[in-house]
Amino acid sequence: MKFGELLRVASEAVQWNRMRSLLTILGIVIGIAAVMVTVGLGEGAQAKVKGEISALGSNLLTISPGGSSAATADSGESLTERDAMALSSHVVAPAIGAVAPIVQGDETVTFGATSTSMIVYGSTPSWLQVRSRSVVSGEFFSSAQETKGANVIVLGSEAASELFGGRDPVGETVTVGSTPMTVIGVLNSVGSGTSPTTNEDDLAVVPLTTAQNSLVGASSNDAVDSILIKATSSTTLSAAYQEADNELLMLHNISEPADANFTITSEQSLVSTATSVSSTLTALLAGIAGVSLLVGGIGVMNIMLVSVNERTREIGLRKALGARPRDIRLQFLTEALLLGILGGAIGVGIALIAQHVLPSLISDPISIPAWVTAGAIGISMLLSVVFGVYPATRAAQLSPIEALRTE
Amino acid sequence: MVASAAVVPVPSVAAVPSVVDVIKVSDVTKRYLLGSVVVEALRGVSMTVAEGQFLTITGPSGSGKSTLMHLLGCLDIPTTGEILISGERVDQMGEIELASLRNRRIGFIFQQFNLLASVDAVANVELGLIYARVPRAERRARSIELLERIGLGNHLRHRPMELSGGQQQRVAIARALVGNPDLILADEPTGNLDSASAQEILTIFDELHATGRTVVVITHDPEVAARGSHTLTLRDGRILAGVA
Ligand SMILES: Nc1ncnc2c1ncn2[C@@H]1O[C@H](COP(=O)(O)OP(=O)(O)OP(=O)(O)O)[C@@H](O)[C@H]1O
Ligand SMILES: [Mg+2]
Repeated sequence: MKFGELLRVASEAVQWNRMRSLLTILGIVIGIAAVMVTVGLGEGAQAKVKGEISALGSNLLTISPGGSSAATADSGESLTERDAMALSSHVVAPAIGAVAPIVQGDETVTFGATSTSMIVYGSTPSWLQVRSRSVVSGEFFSSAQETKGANVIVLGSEAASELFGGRDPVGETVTVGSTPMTVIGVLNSVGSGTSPTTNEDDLAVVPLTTAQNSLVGASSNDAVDSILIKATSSTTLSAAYQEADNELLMLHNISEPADANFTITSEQSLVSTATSVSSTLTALLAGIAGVSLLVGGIGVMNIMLVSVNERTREIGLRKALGARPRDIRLQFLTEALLLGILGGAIGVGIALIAQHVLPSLISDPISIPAWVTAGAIGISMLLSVVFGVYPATRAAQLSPIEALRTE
Repeated sequence: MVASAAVVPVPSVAAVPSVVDVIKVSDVTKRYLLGSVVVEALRGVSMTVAEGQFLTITGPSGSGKSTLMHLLGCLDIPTTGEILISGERVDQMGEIELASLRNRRIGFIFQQFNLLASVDAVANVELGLIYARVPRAERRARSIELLERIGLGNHLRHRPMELSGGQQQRVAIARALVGNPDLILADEPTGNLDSASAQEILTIFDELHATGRTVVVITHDPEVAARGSHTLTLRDGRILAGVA
């Protein structure tokens, strides 16, 4: 029998017993939809984490004071501007592209009657490059302004709009704590991908020296709160890590790496932690959904067996009319395949609807990649054929007279 | 070399019978194993059906009529004995060969009609042609032509449930005829019909016989049996009487 013929016979049988066909594929429908939504949740969570982290700047390493061992954990002022300067040497650290020492404080910033609190960073002009940011209005401060501790400030886009509404803040004077500062620029907006805990648009940046002089909590010596370094590329990230580690151990006169009084973390390691957590969860949920698919497959087999029993006379008749065992086997396999495709398609449809409807209810993004959709249809076809083999073989083996004798 | 002609006698042209036996059954037995009980359904049956015969087979219930029909129809093979259908030995054939033989040479008509409930009359008639790999357009044309000839031209699209018993059996007859078989086998074709419908069906059998078809009808209705050109009676798995 040709495949087109088989398909016609199968679709007639599926249509003839609509209710049972639906029941047969129910397990597959639920299984496929569950697997796809689960994978979509996992993918959505990963995309969200990646988005948040890329908003921080790529190829970024953060050096913070304090080591990982108990003895060194509380050495709060171990990082200095001198460390940052040493790391910016291309001879010592060729894999490091840019270095930005950071002093930070939570400050109240006032313009006229409006005041708002935000994190104010003190850094050097390389901050822009390290954080992969740009200035959309005005300009960033220069090295000269940094060295002499000019009272200038660059605002994040959200900070600017909170203080100035729609007006251009460049040239205006705001008060940070008690120090008046001139707004010289506004940063680009990094928009979505920012989490509520670290809003990369609600901030301000001032020259490091200025921060050390005027910010609350900032010490007047050359200690810094952290040093950000940007590797020259994503492939030199680990080399940059090594160079920073070695150089700082040397500068701090530490011979044992375990005694280090600083910690280097990469944003990449945050990504992998976040994604490994969510992929464990995804694997678990997908496993459960996979089991439900398996149950769906067994459901197909079960109802196909009932169907073979009920259609014993039909099988006998077809054999009497000249159907060979393989014709009968192919007929039932095609029917199983068709049910699988149907179940898969309905499951995919439900999952794609859920992708649009669910996120507003559970406030988690769902992103179902195309390969998951294709895979889902493939799996449901495979599953139904695998579980259709046994019933189809049973049907093919029926002897024509036995089949015709059944009432 | 010299003796070969004598050892293997070559039949002369004149010795070949002009009428080929469509069926030749020699000393056939059929035993069924029901658990540990052996049921002897046929205990040595020999018979022939010549081309163009209308043979009726009668006998009491359990005498082996259906068993014999299953063997004649190549639905099963005998326990012992020989069966030739149009000169082909079928008693030792495998399942696939038997399927092909049934498809090419035999048209079945059953007491229960055995139509597929899910498809219409045309699709029921063309069923056997699918397994003969006849292209769809030709299948449908042949099926429609036969249904029209058999008086169902207005019922081509009807499903079995939408047809009377007599009409259903006529669809089944069309299905049996559509492949141009050498032999038409019917087991109690009127057993499920009222007498008016039964008469219609029997008339069709008469017509088939009149146009030279070979027909074997199994029945325990003496009136039906009397319509045949030849009659056989079975009892306890043996041929009791009759000419065949
Ligand atoms: N598949 C089978 N397994 C076991 N016994 C069988 C089988 N088929 C037929 N028989 C037995 O063989 C005997 C002959 O049966 P068969 O069906 O040929 O009778 P029949 O003449 O057609 O009867 P009826 O007129 O009632 O249809 C019966 O005793 C029956 O029980
Ligand atoms: Mg019978």
